[in-house]
Amino acid sequence: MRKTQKPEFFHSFHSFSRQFLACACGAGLALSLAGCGSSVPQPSAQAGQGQETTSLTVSQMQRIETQIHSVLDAADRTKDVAALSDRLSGPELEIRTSQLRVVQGTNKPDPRMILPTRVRERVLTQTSGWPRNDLVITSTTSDQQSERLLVLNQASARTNYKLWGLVRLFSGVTMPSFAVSGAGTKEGTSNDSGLVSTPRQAVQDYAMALNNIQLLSADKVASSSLPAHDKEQISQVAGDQFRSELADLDASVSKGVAENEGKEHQQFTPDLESLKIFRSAKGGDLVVARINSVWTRTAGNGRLSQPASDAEKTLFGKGKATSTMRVHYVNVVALYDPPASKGAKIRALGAERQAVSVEAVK
Amino acid sequence: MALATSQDAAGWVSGLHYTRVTGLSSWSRLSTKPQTATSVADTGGDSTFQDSDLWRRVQCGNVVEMQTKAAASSPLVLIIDTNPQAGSASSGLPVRLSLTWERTHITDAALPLWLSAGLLLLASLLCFFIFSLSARRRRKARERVESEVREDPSLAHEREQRNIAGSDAPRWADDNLRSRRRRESRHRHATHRSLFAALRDNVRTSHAQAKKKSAQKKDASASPVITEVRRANMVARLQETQTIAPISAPIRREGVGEKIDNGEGRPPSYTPPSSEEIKDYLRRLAAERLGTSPSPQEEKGSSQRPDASQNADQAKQDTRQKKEDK
Repeated sequence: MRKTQKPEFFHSFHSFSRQFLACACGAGLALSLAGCGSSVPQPSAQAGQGQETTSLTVSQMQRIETQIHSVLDAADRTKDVAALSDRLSGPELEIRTSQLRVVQGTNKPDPRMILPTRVRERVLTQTSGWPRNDLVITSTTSDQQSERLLVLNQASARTNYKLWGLVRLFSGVTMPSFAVSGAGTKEGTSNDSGLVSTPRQAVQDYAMALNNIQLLSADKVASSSLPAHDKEQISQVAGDQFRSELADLDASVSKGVAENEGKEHQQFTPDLESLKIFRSAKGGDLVVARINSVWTRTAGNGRLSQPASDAEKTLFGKGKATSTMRVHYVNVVALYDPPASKGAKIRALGAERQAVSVEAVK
Repeated sequence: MALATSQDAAGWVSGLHYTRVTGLSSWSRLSTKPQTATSVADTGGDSTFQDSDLWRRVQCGNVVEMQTKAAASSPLVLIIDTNPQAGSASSGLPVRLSLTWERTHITDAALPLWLSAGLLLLASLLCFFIFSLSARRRRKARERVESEVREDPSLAHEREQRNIAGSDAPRWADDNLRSRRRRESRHRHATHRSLFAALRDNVRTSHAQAKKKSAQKKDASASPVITEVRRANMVARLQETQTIAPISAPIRREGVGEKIDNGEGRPPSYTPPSSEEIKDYLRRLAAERLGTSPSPQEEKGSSQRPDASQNADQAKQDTRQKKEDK
């Protein structure tokens, strides 16, 4: 007969438990020894150093955009310009303030003030110090206006990002591409080389072209009485929508002034200390520059020089007109300074222009 | 408390005195070091600690808990402003900071211990399989063989052989043995069946023969005979079990009412039984079914019957002789 099952089962159970106990003891001992044996971890001084990352994450940028929109919306509602400085700075603060005043005076909405919330592209930069700048390109507006290029600037560590510049891109313009990887885009300097001209020089060239607004074509430039250096500067710049519109405006105004035996002159002066430069993926620089301009119009034959537009009228208010009127404009232009090659020209991508003050000169 | 890149944190504390957590002095204590940011103080900003755009994450309150998942090479640092409302120039309040983290990298010192732990684990698993499972299987096999040997002593010899071969004999030897045993077991069953049939056929043998047969049966059950199938001689086996008398000797058998007299050595011819004999057979069959064996008297009577017929024959012969004598 076979043995009974019970003793065998108990035997195997005992054997199993013995083995299991041995396993558990071994593992436990090893674990405890491992815990005791390891030394206190020390942080390495190089941890996180040299790792290239954008100053802002996308979520941080979204948060900043939301803040800017809320400030703009509040100002649009209340027409209170005081709160704008919380999230606006530089030329955009002046332009927006002026626009709000004009809207308040004329009681007509300004379509140029619309800022779409949808974003087409965020160009996040990799800057360790301050000031820092980032780019945001919005989508088109609901009424099919062109995209806005926003320049966000943080002046110092304890200052928040502010909307420094807003440029309405020209319709159908081709934007340079920017690095979209984690390292982000690098900010350029005003002396970047290897380009058609340095960013600083490019802005000066464009300002020269604006100062000679009627010299739109190469033939006109060549046949003009300008010095060779100025001609060369103007010929570096390709024609664009902004210059064409300005040339048309200048032509009509100068015609009217000439009929009254008066004269007019518009002087563009770039602010070379506040250039915002972003290096594109293909080597060119995107330069956003503030160019101040003063438009002086003098009426002849003892006439009074009047404001030329609704905006100027509102800004002038109830001031007493004289024979000479001086209007200060803030222009913001976005230029693309491509890598140096035969036939490459500085190209304007977008511009914004707003009269900020009007004065009658005695 | 905020999470920021080291550059951003450095920018925030620029020109200020601050305390830097440099690491661990022990497993339960942080090591700290008071420092002063070398860069120029930037106190002209308009943003508060909570509203600063610098921070990846920020949480403010008296008790703040922050969980973060960061790689070892993460550029992020934790910055704690202990007194954000009082301005940057005033000294901060004391802060109680506790850090907990999951260790994903084992230190070099512990590596040999981990390795040995792994080896130990492997060894113990190996022991577990060898001494637990294998031993049980072996024991089972041994017990089965023993029980079969006990049932069948003829296997004892094989067992001895196996013992001679040793317990560590190759597996094929064991398989061979097992298959052989299986064949034999089938054979044994067949033997049992033939024995049973033989017993059933010989119900009608004499009491003495029945007794002998029961004795044989007992012997058979005690020790079944192992016979090779190819060498089986059914006739010989039947002879062994039924004790068939030699043909030359006169056989007298009580069959179904038939009287067999084979005195001349010829095979007996079949004669249909008479109605009396059938009745007698049925009576005896009924008695068998009821389990009552025929009484010794009946047996005696039945055994005397041939004697009586012999006497009758003798008497007939005597009368015939007397007539001839007359």
